Amino acid sequence: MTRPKFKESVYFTDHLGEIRFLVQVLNVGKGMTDELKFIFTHSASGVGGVYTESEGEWTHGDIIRLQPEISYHSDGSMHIKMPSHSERTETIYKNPMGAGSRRKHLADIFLWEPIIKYTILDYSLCKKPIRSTSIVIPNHSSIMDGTPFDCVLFLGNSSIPSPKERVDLGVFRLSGLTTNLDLLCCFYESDYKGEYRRIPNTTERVLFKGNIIQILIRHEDLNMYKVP
Amino acid sequence: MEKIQSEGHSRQTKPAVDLLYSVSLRYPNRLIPTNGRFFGVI
Repeated sequence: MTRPKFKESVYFTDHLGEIRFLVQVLNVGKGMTDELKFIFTHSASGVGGVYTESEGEWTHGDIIRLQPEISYHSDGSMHIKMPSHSERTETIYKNPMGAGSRRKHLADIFLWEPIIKYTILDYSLCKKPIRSTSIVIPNHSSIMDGTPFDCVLFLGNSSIPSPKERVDLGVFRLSGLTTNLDLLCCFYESDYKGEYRRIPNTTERVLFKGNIIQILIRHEDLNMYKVP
Repeated sequence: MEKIQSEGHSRQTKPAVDLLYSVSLRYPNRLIPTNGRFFGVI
């Protein structure tokens, strides 16, 4: 297997000093082509993922996989991929913007482009063995304090300045994803406390208090894409 | 266009709250990490 052009696992430090997995970022493009992948779980650590499009309920259409990933390709296609690790299932790709829709080409991104929002309520799910070469973000005491927080990921040109860190904003920059692109991780307090979701074929609701990963887009680009 | 103010030669800019203004959560697609024990029954 060809070695990725870029591969880093990023961790954060919680309020107790525990180092917790945030995201693995890869560039698996070949030659001049860049293909970015973002992975938020580590199946060997016992954490997989559920893909859902429904609000307020779990459905039979939800997809469970060992290690989902989000990819952003050179041509602007962005997919949530649910790889199959069994003969009974198949790999499924979902394009949040709608099948065939494209975002900005990676080469056209200049200003900070919001791509992913990762809301963390349950720190214990952020698991992956750490290596000596792993990147560890220091604790931001007013954000990573044991309560929910959001990590918003942006892509931007390496010449664009980072925001200034504040009491209510944590900032981490990962350089060199591509020749021109850096990743910006912005951390904010979150007021999300979980939500009630109904179980399929019942009237029973359960309180969901897990972490959530969602796709972001710029307001100004909304008209460029069809909304499913 | 988003306004980003440079501070001299610094690689920092004004608060990233500005960046959040540009963000939209429009799509229903969600990915939920789970170890299978994330439910708390009412």
